[in-house]
Amino acid sequence: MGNNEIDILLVEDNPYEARLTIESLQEQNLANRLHHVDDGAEALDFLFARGRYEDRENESYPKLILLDLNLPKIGGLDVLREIKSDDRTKSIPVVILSSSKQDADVITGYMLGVNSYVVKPVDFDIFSKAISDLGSYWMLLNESSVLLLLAKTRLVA
Amino acid sequence: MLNTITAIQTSSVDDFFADIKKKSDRAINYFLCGFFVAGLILAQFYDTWTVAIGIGGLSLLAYYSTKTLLPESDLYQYVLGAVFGIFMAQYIYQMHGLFEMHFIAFIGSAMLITYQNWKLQIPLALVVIVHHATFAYLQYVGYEKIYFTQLDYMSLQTFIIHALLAVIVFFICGLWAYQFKAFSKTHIEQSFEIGRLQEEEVAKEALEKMNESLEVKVKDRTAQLESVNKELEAFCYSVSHDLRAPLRIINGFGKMLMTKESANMNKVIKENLEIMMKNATQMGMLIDDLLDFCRLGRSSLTVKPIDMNDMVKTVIDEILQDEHTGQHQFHLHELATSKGDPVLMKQVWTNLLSNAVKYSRKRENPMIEIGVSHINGSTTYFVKDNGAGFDMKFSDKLFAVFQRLHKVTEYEGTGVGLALVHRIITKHEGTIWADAKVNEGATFYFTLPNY
Repeated sequence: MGNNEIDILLVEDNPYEARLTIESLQEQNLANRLHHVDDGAEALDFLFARGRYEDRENESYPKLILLDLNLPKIGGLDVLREIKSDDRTKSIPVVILSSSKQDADVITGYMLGVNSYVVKPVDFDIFSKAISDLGSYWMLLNESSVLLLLAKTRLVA
Repeated sequence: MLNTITAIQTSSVDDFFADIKKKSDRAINYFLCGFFVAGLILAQFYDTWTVAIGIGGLSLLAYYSTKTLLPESDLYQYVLGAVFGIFMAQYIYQMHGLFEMHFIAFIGSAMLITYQNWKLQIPLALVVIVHHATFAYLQYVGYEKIYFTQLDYMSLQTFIIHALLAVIVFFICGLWAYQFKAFSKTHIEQSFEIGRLQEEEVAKEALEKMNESLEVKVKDRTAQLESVNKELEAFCYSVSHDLRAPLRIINGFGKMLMTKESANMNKVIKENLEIMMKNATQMGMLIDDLLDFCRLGRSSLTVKPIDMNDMVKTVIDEILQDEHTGQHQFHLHELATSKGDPVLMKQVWTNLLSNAVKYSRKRENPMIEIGVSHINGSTTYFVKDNGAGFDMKFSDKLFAVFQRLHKVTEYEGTGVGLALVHRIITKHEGTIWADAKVNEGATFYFTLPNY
């Protein structure tokens, strides 16, 4: 993956789910600069350029994080907590893509500062539309704060 | 129970006095023998053998014959009182008016106390008074061989003082007897009362212990229930996560095949693929409904006033948007305002009305009536349709989860909708029932409590 800039970080342990998500984003041409990790620990390693991702350029952050909740090693909500408690990453929009409609998860998610909580529908057409809508909203319509954040950190440095 | 205790108590008091009577009788036997023998001894002084044997013998005869003939009666005790008086008179006579012999009456009086009956003093006092009066008078007027006193100054005043003192002694002895009896009785009653209180205390302690153990049991059961509930929650969670994902994948990959490989598939493959996808979607809906149903069991109610007219109108609009047929006629009567959880009550109306729409869709003039009637004094909402209806003999299956009265090919559905409605109404502590006939439509009734 190297030093290429990444637009979307997809955190999803199920490879088939990941493929469906990527397919849906591809329809909107949003999957070209997407990186997929399949557990919570790797997601954090990627974001904070640790472990396997030591060589990754430290200051390049994705514009959107799509986060599954049921993840091995470090759960989705814990990943979210880390992201939202670090100054470098807290302004990155995070969308939870969950199979679960559990009230507790939804509440905890929003308490931790998630930007959106989407329950993945079983029907693929609806799923596909939801994903591509999400992608286009956060990637195209919404003004990203990442640039601003980057500018700030550079100034401080 | 209290009556039994009182009975036992009464009989115990009786037993106690019977025992006293027995002991006193035994003592009296010795005393009377002693009196008789004393009479014989006194006979030596003035040669009064006839009197000693005659009067003493008659007295004993009177006492024992009464006692033997009427053993159950207290009469012999009264005779005893008189006999004590007569012995005194006998001794006074035998000793030719020796003043000290008058004191014999007091011995008798004291002896009578043991029976704890003040009335026994009466015959003694009577005999003493009659004896004193007659013998004092006869001696005074100068009859020979009448001996009352050896004092030579026996004036009327002395006599009266003498008699008065005697009566006072009898009175005091009577008072003692009375008080002894009263005391014994109170004592026994108090013992019983203490016993009863102790028993009560024991019973109370046992009850408290039982309550405690009951509380512990309730706590245990509650803990068990809570843990079962938690397990159920975990189960729901895992169903929600792990069961839906594979379905989405089946559906998604099917769709990908359909769009990307469409050119390489013949009609049969496409049809079969569609069936697979449709069923995966159906199962997804089942799981979603089931989860809604599970979640409802755990959530609590937020009760607010509800404008049922507004709510039903909104629901009808929403249903008609999805339905697109537009051929249904709705008759909405003025509905009473009620209180309930607005989110859940909207679910109730949505499910009941979509059911009504669904099952009357095949009619030529599908008609749905919504209104309020008063049944058994409670406000009853109803939704009536002229649709397929159902056979009332299956009505017990109507509100059970996953139970359907129609084939999926006839009317779509998961069999959760009415179960959910039932659960919501029950959670509100209301009631729900239905009335239907095959091909003539169904009416669903429900009531809500007055919060």
